[in-house]
Amino acid sequence: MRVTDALENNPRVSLAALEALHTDVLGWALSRCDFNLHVAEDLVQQAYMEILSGRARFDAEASLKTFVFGVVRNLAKSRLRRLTTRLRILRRHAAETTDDGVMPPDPDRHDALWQAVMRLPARQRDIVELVFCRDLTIEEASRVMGVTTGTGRVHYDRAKKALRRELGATLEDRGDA
Amino acid sequence: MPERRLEDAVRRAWPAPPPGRGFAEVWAGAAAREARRRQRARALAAAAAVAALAVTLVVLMSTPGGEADGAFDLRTAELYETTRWTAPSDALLPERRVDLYGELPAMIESTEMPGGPLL
Repeated sequence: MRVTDALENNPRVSLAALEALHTDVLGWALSRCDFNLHVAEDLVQQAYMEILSGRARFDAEASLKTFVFGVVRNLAKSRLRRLTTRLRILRRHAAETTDDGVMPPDPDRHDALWQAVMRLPARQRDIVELVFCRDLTIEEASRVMGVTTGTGRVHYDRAKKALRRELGATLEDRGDA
Repeated sequence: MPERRLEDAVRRAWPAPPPGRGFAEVWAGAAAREARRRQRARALAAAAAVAALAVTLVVLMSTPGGEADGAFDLRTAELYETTRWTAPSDALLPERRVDLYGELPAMIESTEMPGGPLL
């Protein structure tokens, strides 16, 4: 299948489809880099470069969303590996710079629910985000995370149990439950 | 707690992406970066090719011509060395060292015919 505004090096990817995914992709990239907007945008731009050049080739085995999320995840992992040795220096430097690229602290972010989400192990947090906030199925989310569907399901169930355990009372109080 | 409510609560708590650069701007940036990357790669490939050519030329130029062009590498001292002959023993020779270039060696007497030379 060749789409009308397909990319030259990625004939199954259309510019319009990428544009429709942009907000979700940016949201996923944000949570890959501690919600730093500048880094997240750079990450998304790198992902677009990979897709534009054809180095990341979409073969339509999964949905385009799953594919782009996977590209972002791989780039974020590579970036993390590169930065690991310099992390201490970067953190020290970051304290001296302005935080204009970082999302302003939101009072809601400090509520019990967000704290509980952030306390989840990374993979459980990832699958919660992908399924709850990015509207992927568990199968698609597992594919993005590079794990089997069974493993993804285990992370998903554990995350839900942990959130219920920690937040049950809080959500009851807020009338969410 | 029902799954749907948990999902809604988490979705509400999750920070929405802030208004950043739009898709068009990010995409244009990606295209520009990719073009610069290709340009750099081409320049690097050209530089590598030139360097390889230069190394090849230097290696070829530094290789002694010698027999490659069919000429012999004649060294005077070595050539003169070949004109001297030294007998392993001087028992049968009047002179042990002979300069082949300047004079013929005197043949040993025992090789002469009793009636004189044949020719």
